[in-house]
Amino acid sequence: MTAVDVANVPPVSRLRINRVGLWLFILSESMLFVGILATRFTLLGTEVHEDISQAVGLGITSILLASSYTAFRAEHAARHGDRAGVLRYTALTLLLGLVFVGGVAVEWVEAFHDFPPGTLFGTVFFTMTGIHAFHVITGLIFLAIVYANARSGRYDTDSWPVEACVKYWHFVDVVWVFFYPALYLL
Amino acid sequence: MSPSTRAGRSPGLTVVVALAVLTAVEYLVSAADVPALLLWLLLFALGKAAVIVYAFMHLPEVFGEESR
Repeated sequence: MTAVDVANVPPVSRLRINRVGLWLFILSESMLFVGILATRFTLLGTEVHEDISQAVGLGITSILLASSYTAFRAEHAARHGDRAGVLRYTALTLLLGLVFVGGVAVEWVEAFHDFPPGTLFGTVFFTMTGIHAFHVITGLIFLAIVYANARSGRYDTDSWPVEACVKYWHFVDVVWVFFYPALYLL
Repeated sequence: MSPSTRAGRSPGLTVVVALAVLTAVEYLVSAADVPALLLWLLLFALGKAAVIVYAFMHLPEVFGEESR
């Protein structure tokens, strides 16, 4: 096997390797969520609890979709060396993400009363929203790190870390695109 | 605001408006309780996911031209 001198790999090739690696990570994460969705339909069929709050579901879904737009703008700004844009849109994405987590928390308080974790629907609901919220919180930590580093100008010439963080955030959004109808709309 | 930032506003806005419309229609279809609801919801979810993966996550970049 030939050893590769990583330091001498051209930046463009390194970017391509980074992107392929991130997509492989996203693909492997997708397996987890596909498994959870399959479990949900195996256990509940097309049943949805009548007490689940449609208003909260639609609200947090809209917020997460809006956060994908601000994340997209942060990445776009990073690609064009616009530090102020990166800071502005990363902060907005952070804010929207926090509101989403707050919405899930509100939903959980109601859910503990309406369908506790001991019930079948409760088990499915808390597992799906809990694992997804864990990923959202991970994304928020990632965004906070990006924000702090962007302030010191670390991404003025290399936008890859912002791109990676934003792609992860979009992935969390894609997962919710499937979880939302499975939990609220059937 | 830099010109590059201004140029990026329209594509992103179009995508997020499309996602909002799809979500609204998805909600209304569910409320109307149409036949084969599961299939409709699956189609809406796949459509929204495809839009995000293609337009926001730049999937074609992995296979095509490099860009920063």
